[in-house]
Order: sequence, then C-alpha cells, then structure tokens
Amino acid sequence: MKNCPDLATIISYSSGALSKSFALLVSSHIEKCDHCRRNIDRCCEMGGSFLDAEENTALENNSYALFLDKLEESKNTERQLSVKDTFDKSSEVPVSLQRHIGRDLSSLKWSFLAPGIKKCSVKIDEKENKHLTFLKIKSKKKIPEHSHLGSELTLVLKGSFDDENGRYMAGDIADHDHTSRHEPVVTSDEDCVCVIATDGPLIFNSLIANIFQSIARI
Amino acid sequence: MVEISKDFIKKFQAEKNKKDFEIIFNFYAPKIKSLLIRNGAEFTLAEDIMHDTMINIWDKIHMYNPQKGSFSSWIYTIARNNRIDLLRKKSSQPYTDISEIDIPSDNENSQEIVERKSLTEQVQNAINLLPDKQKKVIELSFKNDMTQDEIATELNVPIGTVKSRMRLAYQKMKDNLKDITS
Repeated sequence: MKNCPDLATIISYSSGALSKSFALLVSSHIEKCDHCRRNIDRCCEMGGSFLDAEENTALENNSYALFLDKLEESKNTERQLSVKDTFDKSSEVPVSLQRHIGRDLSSLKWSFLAPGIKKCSVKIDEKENKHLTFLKIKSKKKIPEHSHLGSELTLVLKGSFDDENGRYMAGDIADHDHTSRHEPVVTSDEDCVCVIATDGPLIFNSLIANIFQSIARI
Repeated sequence: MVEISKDFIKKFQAEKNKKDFEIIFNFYAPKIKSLLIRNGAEFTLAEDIMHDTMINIWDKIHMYNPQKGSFSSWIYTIARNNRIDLLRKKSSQPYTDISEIDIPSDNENSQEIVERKSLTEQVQNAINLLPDKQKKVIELSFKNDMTQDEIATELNVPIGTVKSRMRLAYQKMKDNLKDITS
C-alpha cells in the first residue's frame, strides 16, 4: 500500500483505544497491507510486554474450576460460524466491513447527495449511534475543499482520488486531523467508492460547500 | 512456577490438556483481570471477561504461531479484543482476527525468528529506555485504554503533541529492536 494510517493511529489501534468506526477502517486496510500489519505486530509486542509486567489481581478461590465448567458449557453450545466460513476474501469489500454491509458494494442503498455524488450511511453501533459514511463519486468529480475539527479516516474501496498529499488507490487510507485541509478529486475512470470515519465535523471553506455539508452531515 | 517456554506451549498445542492449561491460566489470568479492573470493570465482571478470554485462548491455541510474535503479545491481542467486545458492550467487533481469516502474510525468514522470552524482555527494556514523556503516552494508551484525545486531556497537551510523542516512541522502539525484529 502507498498510503497508510499515521503511526499514532496504528499505535492506538494496537492498544484497542481507537473508536469503533476508525478501528473498522484500520482493520480493513491491514487485510492487504503487510507493512502496517508488521507495525501492529511490533506494537502488540509492547502490549504483551505490559501484560507480562502487569500486577496480579487475586482471582476467585475456585476460579480455575469455574473456568473449566464454563469451558465444558461452551463446548456444548453451538459455536458461532467461523469468519473463515462466512466471509469472502476475494470481494472488493474488506472482510472487516462485510459484517456490516455484506460482500457487494452494489447492495448499498445509495441516495443522491450532490451532482455526481451519492451517499450511504451505515450504522455500526446502535448504542453509541456510530456510523460510517460511504461516498460514491463520479470520475473527475471534486469534493469541496475542507479541513477538520477532529480526525478523519478515508478508506478507498474502489477507484482512486488525488489530493494535496498524492494519489489514493483501493485499499489506501487518508488519515487527516485538524491540521489538514484538502480538496479530493476523483482520478479514476470508474466511480470512486470510499468510506469515511470522522470524530468531528468537516469544515468547508465555501458557502456552497457548507450547504453540501448540511445535506451530507459528515 | 513452571516457566511458560516455547517448548511448553508447543507441547500444550499438541496435547491440549487441562493440567498444562492451568499453568497458563495461573500466569495470565490474574494479569488480564488486573488490566480489566484498571480499565473500569468491577471485580465480578472482570472475572467473567477474564474467563471468556481464557476460553478463547483455549479454543484458538492451535492458531498461535511463535514465528509471528511472542505468546504474551498473542494473549494480549485476544484479551484486547475481548475487552473491546465485552467490557465496552459493543454490538459488533471492530477488530477482525487476522489469524482467523487466514490472510497470507510475508514468510518470516528463519533467521529472524528469535527466542520469544528474550523478545518480551527486550521490548520491556526498550520501553524503559524511552524518554519519560514518550513512555507516558504509550503507557496511557496500552495500560489505561485511553484514546489520543483522553491522553491529551490527561497530560494537558495538544493532541498533535500526543501523536508526535507516539510516533517518536514507536520509532525509538523499532530502532532499539531492529536486530531482533524485521
């Protein structure tokens, strides 16, 4: 992969401290990025080292016996289908996202957002009201210039786009925070489909773009 | 206490008996429980999640590959995923277990395979060598389950500073460990 998440994002992912929407996009990216997986492996070595050095908290008196009972019980209950059996690795949808949107991007329910741009919002956490925003953008179309109040991760699923930092192809991640300002433009001949996770609203730099934002709610 | 060596884990993977697992349980269960309590679980819930974690370890032990990392880091990732799924009561898992979906990775050169106990010790030493400010952000992330925003608030610094310290810490760790990891 050419464009990977920031190292700080990788560290937070490894420690389990990323929000669900961000973690899903990083999980999707690392399915095809050996570089990031190696970085995560190194970070998890840090986690393992902290675990080794962790103090011991007293367990219940019969803790191991209770564990064995639960183990037997779990063997008797029907196990969930394994990921291997239910997901399609050859799909353009990363395995990590298939749990939420299925195997086929065409199954998403797209709605009109702006000329040349369609949107689909997928709720990934009922309790926390977290969602991912999928955008399908026509070739050569531009997203108005914007900056961010919080962080934004954009994972390309299909096609490609360019911004001030370079070209993003399928599998690449654009990792932006409040210091970045960009104006992505689709460069592929086919539509570009990407999925966005944000923890703060985007700040558009023109009136028309602000109208776009009020409709897009991203 | 019997040492959890590579040979011991290999033997357990082959035989999978409850007597051997008790040794693994006695070493890791109190530490996993401690981590859960620090991250907000009350005593009984922490014991329950720890049991679920140990069941996952039992079930998935055949997936552990010593060439890919230390046993402790493997246990850590299982405990982390369980913590996210159960402690935070999330409705679905954001972390896909890469070992479960069996996506091929680069083969590790046999010369790069190191004694895992040695690796864990060297990682501990490398963490201890980090400047205090960098060490602190890593500890708050891994031990206290804090987001970058929470760390910034805790340390009263901009989030950019937290990110920058994380990057520097990682780079130093990587440099210090470059002889034993690729």
